[in-house]
Amino acid sequence: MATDTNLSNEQDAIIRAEVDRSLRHPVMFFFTSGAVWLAISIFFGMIASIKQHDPDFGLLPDFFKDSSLFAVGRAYAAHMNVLLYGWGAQAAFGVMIWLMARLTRQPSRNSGVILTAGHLWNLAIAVGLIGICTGKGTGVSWMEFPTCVWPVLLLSYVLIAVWSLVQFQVRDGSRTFISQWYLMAAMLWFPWVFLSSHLFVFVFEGHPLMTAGVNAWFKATLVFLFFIPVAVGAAYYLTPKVTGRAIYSYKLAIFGFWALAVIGPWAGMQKLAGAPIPHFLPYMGMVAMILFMIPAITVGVNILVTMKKAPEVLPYSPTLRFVAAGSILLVVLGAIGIALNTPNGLRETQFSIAGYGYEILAIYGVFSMIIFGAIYFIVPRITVREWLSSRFINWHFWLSVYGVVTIVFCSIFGGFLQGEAQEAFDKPWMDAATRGYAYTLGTTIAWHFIFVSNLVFLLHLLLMWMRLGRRSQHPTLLHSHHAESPHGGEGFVDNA
Amino acid sequence: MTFKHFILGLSITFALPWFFVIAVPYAKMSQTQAVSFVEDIDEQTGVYTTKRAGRVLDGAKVYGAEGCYLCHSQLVRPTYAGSDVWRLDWAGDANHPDGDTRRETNVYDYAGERFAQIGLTRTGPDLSNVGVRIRKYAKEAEISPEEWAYMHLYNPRHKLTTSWSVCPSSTQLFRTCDVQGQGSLEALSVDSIKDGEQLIPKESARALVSYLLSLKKDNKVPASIDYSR
Amino acid sequence: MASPTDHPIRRFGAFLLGLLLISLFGIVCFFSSPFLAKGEQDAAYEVNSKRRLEIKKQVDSAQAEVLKDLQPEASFKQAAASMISDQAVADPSAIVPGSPTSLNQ
Repeated sequence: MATDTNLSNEQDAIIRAEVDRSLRHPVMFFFTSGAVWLAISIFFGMIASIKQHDPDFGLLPDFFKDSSLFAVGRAYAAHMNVLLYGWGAQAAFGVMIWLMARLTRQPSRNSGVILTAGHLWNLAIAVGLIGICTGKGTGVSWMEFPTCVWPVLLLSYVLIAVWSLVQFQVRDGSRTFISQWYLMAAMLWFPWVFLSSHLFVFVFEGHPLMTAGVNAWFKATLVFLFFIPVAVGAAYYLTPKVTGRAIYSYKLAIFGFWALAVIGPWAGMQKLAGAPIPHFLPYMGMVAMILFMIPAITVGVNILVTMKKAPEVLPYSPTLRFVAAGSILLVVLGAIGIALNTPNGLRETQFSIAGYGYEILAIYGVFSMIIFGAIYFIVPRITVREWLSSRFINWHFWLSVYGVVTIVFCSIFGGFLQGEAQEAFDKPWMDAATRGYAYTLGTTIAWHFIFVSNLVFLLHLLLMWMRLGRRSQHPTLLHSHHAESPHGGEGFVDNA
Repeated sequence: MTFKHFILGLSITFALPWFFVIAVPYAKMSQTQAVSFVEDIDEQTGVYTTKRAGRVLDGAKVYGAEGCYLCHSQLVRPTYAGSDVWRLDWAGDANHPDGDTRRETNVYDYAGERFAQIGLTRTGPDLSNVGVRIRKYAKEAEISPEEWAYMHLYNPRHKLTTSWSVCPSSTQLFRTCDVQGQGSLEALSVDSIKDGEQLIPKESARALVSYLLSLKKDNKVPASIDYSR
Repeated sequence: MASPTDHPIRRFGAFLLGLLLISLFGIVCFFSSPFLAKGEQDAAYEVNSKRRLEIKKQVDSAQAEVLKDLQPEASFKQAAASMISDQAVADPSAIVPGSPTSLNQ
């Protein structure tokens, strides 16, 4: 990436340090508050999950069983909305603004505004969460925050993201890197999708089925056109950086980007298959969900083959491990998308827990895992400290992987079984209703694993935020021995 | 690829689906034409009306805020998309004296609501015709449909026939208060209530039950949109 | 930084361009809202109300025909005037419930 300029390595290092220093407050804020919201979201998710198989669950303290604040419908809405906007969006913002600044070599001049907007975002999420828990949710999936919240979110977003677009325009040189394409696209797609959907659902008056359709489109495009591109952009940056190898095929990377841009926005309406709306709408949704395999496998192959070129780095780097897991799960996401959206698959799984499994795979399995990798890369550079414990990182990784794989397996497999029982119309409904019991139970247990893993992560991140990380020249690696390190003695952090 | 080309490509690849999948269908469906009965075929005249109003729509809001759509759907799919039509009491009554009333959902069925609660999963049964079922069960139990519905919302597991139900006890929709005079007509007969106290539904429960009881699709449909003929 | 393209005017222009691009589809929604958001037209209600309003018109005109010669307004005025002029008569034998008289009984 230094090929376009004639700066020396030392000047490179100075620019990087300036970029990191200018963004340390907003980026750490986004990551830390995001991690707190993630823990809160998983907590609500556990409650909602428990109540779906054992509504009078004896082990839950009475307060959680009976209180209206944790009624299952409200808890589920709280879980999803806090996961998406409290954790997902903020983690994405932190990664986005840091990566755009690094790639354009521009220190941020607007960190104050970004930080303020971040606080406004958090305030809006808190208000929204209280609204949902007190029964003022809107009843529109993934848009359950009371309607006063979304304009504030959108305004905060503009004040966070527009500066990165400015940085891009005033950068030195004309060449761009694939990550910038993904990030800039995500930066524009998010407001386009968010504003359009909220206008059509809450402001314009239309047929109730079409507002349901726009909502379904919003759910798919928020994942395909915001979370996935931010994660992929981060993966394309981190992999060559940590392995020291060039991306396997840059042309393939560009093809994957345009494939996502063309295919992604058509998805979503398959959730309304069988509804009295124009027939081509759900069919377009099914086709787009199936074709998503193309960009998914493109990215997966590119990232994983690049990693394979440096097998000596993979066992040691936390960043690479998380990015690798996320990339593998991206390919799995594409495959499951195909399985769930064939005509037969959709018929069976349309109203089963499989949909939830797919969403969690996308948001936690792909997006969050890659973003964790990015966080493990970025935080030492902006705090000028190293992570305290490789054991914490290991726990975070393995518990997350076990948890998300269990959820996906239980939801998808259980979803197909549920769907089969639902389609058997001559059997009593009790059959279908009780078919999913084991799988919702498995999902609950898996969320417990993920909860522990994220408490560990939150603790670790909070310690870094409090500047209590190790002052060290070499990064915290997995499998490293304390007695001797391949990197030599202790000293200052290398920010390359 | 210049920045201009990039933005152009991005805008076009987004604008096409935005236009064809969102904007145009939305605009067209907000002007759905009314359908009329034809005297000769339907033996009645007038316009096919399905709109609900008032407290029923308040109930729709409660339905959304309490997250009922998480476990219940409201969509009877045509047979190419699912077998909902044939499941007992989901789509109508096969043995109705006026003829088979089972039908798939039509475009007028959500009239009056802002958002069609199609639903996310079917942990619980589809609710398109739950008004019919509640009335049936209430008649068998010799109580009013409202009382049956309140009892079910308060504790879905109180009946032996649904002891396996994972429907949550929506206790947040009810409150206990002291008995005054002869007590409220809507008080629920629940064992766990102390003497001198009664359990009554809140306004949100009343609205929700009005909404649930309005969910029936057994009205006569004009021949032009009656696909079962 | 310190690149030839970096100066305040260009930054401001980029800022405005950024705002424009971010709000692009919001602007598109705004300008197409007359076509998109005609509001849900309740066609059934409109058709039904046509018939209803016609009947009302017929009833109104029939009533006006009948009342044309009777001139009810004049008798309304007369009745109102007599009601105002008639004083209420105090009747000591009538007991108001809750008054001291009734309580003393």
